[in-house]
Order: sequence, then structure tokens, then C-alpha cells
Amino acid sequence: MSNEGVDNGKRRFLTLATTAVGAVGAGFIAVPFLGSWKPSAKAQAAGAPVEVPLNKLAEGQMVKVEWRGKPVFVVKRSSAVIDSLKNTAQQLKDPQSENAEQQPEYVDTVIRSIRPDVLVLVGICTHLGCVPQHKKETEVEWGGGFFCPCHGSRFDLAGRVFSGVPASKNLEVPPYSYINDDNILIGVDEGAA
Amino acid sequence: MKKIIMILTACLSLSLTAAEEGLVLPHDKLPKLSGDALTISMQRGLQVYTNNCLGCHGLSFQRYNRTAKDLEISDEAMLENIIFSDAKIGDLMTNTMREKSAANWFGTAPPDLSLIARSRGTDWLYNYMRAFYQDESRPYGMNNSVFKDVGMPHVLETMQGIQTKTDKVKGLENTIEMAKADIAATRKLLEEGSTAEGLSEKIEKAQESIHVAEEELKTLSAAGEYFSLVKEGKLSPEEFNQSMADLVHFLDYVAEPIKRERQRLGIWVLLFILGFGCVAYLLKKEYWKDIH
Amino acid sequence: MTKMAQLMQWVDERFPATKVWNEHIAEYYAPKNFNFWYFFGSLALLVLVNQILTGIWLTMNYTPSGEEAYRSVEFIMRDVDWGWLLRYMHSTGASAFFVVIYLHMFRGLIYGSFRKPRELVWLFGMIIFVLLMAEAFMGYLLPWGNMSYWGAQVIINLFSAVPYYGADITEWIRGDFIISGATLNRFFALHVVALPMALLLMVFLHLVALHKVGSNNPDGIEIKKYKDENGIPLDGIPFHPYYTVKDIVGVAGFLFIFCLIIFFAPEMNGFFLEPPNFTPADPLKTPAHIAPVWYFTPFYSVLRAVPDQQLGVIAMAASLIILFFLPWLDRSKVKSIRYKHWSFKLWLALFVVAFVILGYLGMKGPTPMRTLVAQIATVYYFAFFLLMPWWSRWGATKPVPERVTH
Repeated sequence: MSNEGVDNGKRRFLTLATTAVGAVGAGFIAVPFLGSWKPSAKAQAAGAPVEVPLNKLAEGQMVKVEWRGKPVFVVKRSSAVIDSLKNTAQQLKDPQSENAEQQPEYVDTVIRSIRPDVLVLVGICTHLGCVPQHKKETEVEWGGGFFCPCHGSRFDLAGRVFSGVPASKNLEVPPYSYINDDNILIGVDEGAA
Repeated sequence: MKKIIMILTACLSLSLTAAEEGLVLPHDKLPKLSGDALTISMQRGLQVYTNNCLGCHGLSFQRYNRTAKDLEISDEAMLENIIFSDAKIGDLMTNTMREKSAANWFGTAPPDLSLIARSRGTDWLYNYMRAFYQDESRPYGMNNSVFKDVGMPHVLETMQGIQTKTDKVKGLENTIEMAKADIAATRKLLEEGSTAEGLSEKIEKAQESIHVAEEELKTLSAAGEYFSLVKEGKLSPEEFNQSMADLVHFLDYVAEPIKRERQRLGIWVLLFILGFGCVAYLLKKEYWKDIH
Repeated sequence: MTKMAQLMQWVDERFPATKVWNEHIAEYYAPKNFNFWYFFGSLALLVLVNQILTGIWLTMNYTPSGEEAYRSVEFIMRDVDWGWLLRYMHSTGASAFFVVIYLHMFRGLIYGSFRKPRELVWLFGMIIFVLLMAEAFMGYLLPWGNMSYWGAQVIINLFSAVPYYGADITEWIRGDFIISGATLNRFFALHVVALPMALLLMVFLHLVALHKVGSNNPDGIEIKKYKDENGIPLDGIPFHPYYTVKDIVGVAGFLFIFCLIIFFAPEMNGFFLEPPNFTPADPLKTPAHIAPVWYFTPFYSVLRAVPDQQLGVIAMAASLIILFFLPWLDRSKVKSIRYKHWSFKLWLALFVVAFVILGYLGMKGPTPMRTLVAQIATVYYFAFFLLMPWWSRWGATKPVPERVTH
């Protein structure tokens, strides 16, 4: 064994080169391992967009549908309710929907829907994930909306959270779009299809 | 000595590699396709499959949207032309018939065909689909020369028509059968201790005649003279062969949807490893200069 | 002192990190004349890591139940992103494991690596080999294809050869009157938890024993005989960097072939994934032709060569057990094939031929001629080992050099 005439620069370069190519290779090998954790085709098929017909939905009523395993509320609101929603700002934490993560940009920031009379919400409380109950405007004195039984959070009929409750974000509006006047498609953005 | 060894090794290699099964005809090869031609063939195969097979044979591991993507069909076209049931685009391509009633009709439930091309092989499928022939001894009047006494009826009769073994083929098969019977009878005589002359020669002769007949059958089959049509179908024989090739290409796809993608990817993987190997080799050479 | 050195010192005061690194890597002196055959040890480790990683990932989507197993494998192949690659890495890795291990064992055979003082290295290695066979056998049931099912049926029924208790034992192993979901679940547990742990432990012991006595080499001589003033073997070189950089080249070569198979021939023409396994397990229908996967076929041939069930099972077990005794069977004065009498090469060449013939015949259906050939090969297989104490002493050996040739 002799250490004379060792070109250290060359050694360092080759070591670095091998390490670099090896690291890239390791990165490639990681792809299938990490990639396999994405939702499978089965999960994606189960999470496919859901069509909801509106023609049987009477004013004041709500239907619950499942989209990607989550409850989605579809509520038909009367014009009286829509009007009242515009005058309750002082009781709410985020009346103008300034937290942009909670709804797509194509819904109105106050009444939080594409068409004023049809409200679409993900029925999961933004506090700790329970499913809120729907309360009609005639049932309760606070104007109607959604009441979470777990920790008492309340949301109005636009899904906006009231002041003085544990939840701090408005209920989420999922991506949805109108196929025609009588049918909406939950899971596909308006203007995407 | 040398001669003995040669004979011994010849015997050995012959008996070690002797065919495991009897002669199965036709024994054609599935035409090979690649690129766009293969994709188009698969698309046609999908059409054939949905029109004729999917009713009984599900592809219950495969999804419509995956098939659409891989076969370069749009989801809309898939929904419009292929999906007749109320299935959604992301659903599995299951059959529409209930398994129990199928078992009642055919004695056994038609198998799922998702993986048939991997368990049977594509050449076998290609031959099987073209091997239904008239045989009055069977309940539906049809038999299959590749899958003897198969339970499945000749579903594609309207496409192919009805074929029968040619007289020549029947004659040759008759010869083989008689020779086999001869051999069996002679063997029995030998076992019983008969010392009559020429018995083993008789067996040899019969075996030789079987061999000759089988070779002739193979030649006939290769020349497409194994069957002849007794009733024409909607398709000419060439068109029908093409259609069956399409069908098998499609089944080959369904058996392993990732196949084409994995081969495409494999080239890059190998190139990368080659590059890595070169750098690693230079590194090794550099360090091993120390040792000598 | 740099921050890094301080940190290392802090660790070393509490855990022998530097000591272990030096003893087993940086200052582990390996003979400088390793050749091609010495790649397979590190490659076996690589394949082991591959099997463990891909195996863990496969369990994330595999369902070990009689109803769902087959479907879940196809789910992995189609619906899980990259699932096909993980599965092929695992299935090809199983065969690759045996290729590498067989070559690794053959290396031991030609250079006498099992001889004193390396008997324990060999014994631990043999235990690894047997565990690996159990691991592979149980893993093969998991896809729940028809070949999985009937392969397991045949192997489990080997135990029915046990006199008097045979039927009870097979029933107990299956946990049912036929192979069923109960069998599948226990095989799953053993395959993914118990056997891998045992394997890892044995690999650890194999390496500890090796590093205690030091590696053998193609000359079959001890490098520790001649040391310099610092006690370093004159013919030894540090494992790191010399053999790490060399093994990386071996890894690249191996990966090239490994990926060639994964991406272009994952079924390997029916050798790695057998066609009947693409139909679900069916207790009422045996595949027309049952053959174990290629790596079991030599031993399977021994089983079939004996025309008696009990004796056949005993012969098969013996063909494995006899390998354990190799260190005490070889009585030659020299270790390496390089200095042995030419008759050793003849015995060895015929052994390789017999082993390959047995392997080939194990895949084929039996005919009278094949059975006869298998019997001859079996007799030779045993003769090779049982007569070794005599033939290994026969003939003159060549003079062994004092220092390794390089």
C-alpha cells in the first residue's frame, strides 16, 4: 500500500460525483415509496364528484350527501334569510369571509354561495371536526344555522361562525358547480368542466 | 465409447425435454404490434370485449377510467360508447350478470378475465378464440380444439360463422387414434408375455405413423387448412382473425395495465444505473491505485 | 476541537459509535485479493434491505384474508400509485435473494471459507439459508393464487410423512381441514414479523462471527499470520474505503440486472411468477402442472427421486442438513480450489452439474427417464458430501503461498 502520488483533488471530485449521483438515485428510489401513499384509484373513485339534484329541495330544507367520505350540506334558503344574512356582521368573527381558505373564490363573500338560494357547505365543524346539526331559522332564536353539539359552536345560514364560540373559522364551502339549473356537481370547480 | 456417450446424451436430452402435453392445434402466434398500432388494436379489442364478453366475464380488477386513460380514449367517449350500465367512470369493469344465475346456465360461473392473459398466455387465447368447431357430440353442438369440451358456447358465431375440421384433418386424427389403439393393444400383448414376432416393430411403426400424421396436421394448421367454414359469419376469416388479435391485445393490456409504461420507464432506469456504475467504477479505480 | 468532533466525543462517551465504525468498517482489515465472488455478501445485505422495505410497503395495502388477499394484490398492482413497482421489487427480490445466496455459498465451497476457524460463520449462514427458505415459502402463499395454494398444500403435506401423528400435524399447521384463511393469516404473521426478526438476528451473528475471525480469501490463507509493527495484517486493507467503493460497483452491476428483470421481464418467463398464480386459489382445482419456484426445485427433486413418501421427506431434509456438516467433512490440507488436487475440481464440477440437473428436473413433470436421472443426481449429491472426508484427502495439493497473490 502506498500513498505516494495520490491525486486528492481527483479523489474528492469522484467521491462527490458518486455521492451526488447516488443521492439522486436514492431520490428516485424514494419516489415509489412516497408516491404509494397518495390516494389510490379506489379512493379517488370513491371520492369522485357527486351530483345533487335541487328540484326536490324545498325552501328551508337541507340534504346531506357524502363527498370524499365527508358530509356535505346543501340548504335551500328563503329570500328573507338571504336578506337577514347581510345585516348580522357585528355578531360574527369573519362576516366578509376574509379567510380565503374556507371557500372558493367564485362564491359571494357574504352569503357564501354561487346562487343566493342554494348554500353548499362541508358539514364538519372547524373547531374539532364534529358534524354540526342544521337548525332552521324557525327553530332557534339566533336566526338559524348550524350548531355543533360537541362544543357548542354556532354558524349562521351562510356557514359563518358566530362570536363567542370555540370555533374561529367559517364552515368550509367545497368546490362545486352548476351542471344546469336543477343539478349541482360537488367536487368540480365552477368553470372547470 | 464416444458413440455410446453421444447416443446416451441424445437419449437423455430427448427424454428430458419431451413435450409435456399432446398436440394442440391451431398453434399460431399472436401478431405482434407496438406503438399507436397496438393502442388502436387495443381500442378495437375493448369494443369487441364490451359487445360480446363483458356481459358474462367481468374485468373486476380494472377500472373504466384507467382503461380510458391508457387506451387514449376520452372519459366522455368511454361513458358514451363503452359503459352501458349505470356504472360511473371510476368504477370497476364488473360484469352485468349475477354469478349465481350464470353458474346455473353454464354449470360453472364464467371466470373473471382480468388476468387471463397472464395465466393462459396471449398465444393460447388467440388460438382458443379461433378454435370453436362443429362437434355433434357436444350439448351445444360445438367443441374447441384448444380447450377440449369447454363449457363456453360459441359466442362469436355471428361474427365468425361455424367452422368444422376439414376431411383431411379428420382422416389424420383417425389415423392417429387407430395407431394409438394399436400400440395399446400390442403393449398389452407384450405385458401378457406374448413372444410373437415383430411386436416391438409394430409399436415402432405405429409410433412413426403417429409422428408423420402429427407433422402433417401441423403443416395443415400452419397453412390455415385445419378448419373450413360451413356457415359464413358477418366477418371474413381474415377480419375475424384480426378482430381476435385485437381482443387478445386488449386482454393482454388488462392483465397488466402498467406493462407499456414500465418498459418505457425501464430504459431510463437502466441508463441511470449505467451512468452511476461508470462514476462508481472510476472512483473504485482511483482508490485502488493504492493497492498494488 | 470542532463542533462535530465535540458532538462525536459526547456520543462516544455514552455509546461506542466510533469504536464500532472503526472495528467493523474503517479498520476492519480485509484481504486485498478479493475477487468477483466476494460481491455476493454485500449484495445479500442489499437484497435483504430491499425485501424489508418493499415488504413493509406492501403490507400497507395487502389484506391477509382468504376473501381479500388475491384482490388486494391486484389492487396494489393497479390502483396504488407505484404499487406495481413495489410488488415486482419484492417478487423479483425473492428470486434475487436466492441467486445471490447460492453464489455466496458456492464461493464458500470453492475457497473453503467454512473451514476452521470459520465454522460458526458457516453455521450461522446455513441457519440464515433455512430461515430464508421458510420465509420464501410462506411469502409465496400470500398472493393467494392457485399455485400459492397448491404449492403450500404439497409442502405442508410433507409433514404427513411423520409416522402416526402426520395427519394431526398437518391439520395443526393449517389451522383448518384444508388450507384456508386461517393458514394464510398465520403465514402472514410469520412472514412479516417473526421470520424477518429471526433473519436479522442471524445476519447480525453471521457478521459478528465473521469479524471476529476475519474474512477468508481466494488463496484460502490467513492474512493475520503476517502483521506489521502496528499489528495490521500486511495483506489486509481497510474495508472502508477500499471495499466500500468496490462493493458500490458490484451494487451497480447487480441493480442493472435486477432492474432489467423488474422492468422488462418481471415474470421471468414463469420462473419468478408462475402463470397459474394469476388465477385465484381454488381448493377444488389443482393446476395441471405443479412445480415449486425455481430455488426450491433441487431439493424438491431429491424428494421425488425417492420412491417412498417417508424416505423421500427424510432424503430432502437430509440434503439440507448435510450442508451444516461441511466444515467437518472437508479434510483437505488446503482450503482454496487454487491449491487443491485436480480431482476436487472434477468432484465439484459434477456436483454443480448434479445440482443444476436436480433443479431443472424439479420444474418438470416426472417421467420414468427423468426420475432415473434425478436418482443418479441425488446419489451423487449425497456421495459428494458423505465421501468428502475420503476424497478430499486424496491426491497431492499444490504448495500454498505464504502471502496472498494479487
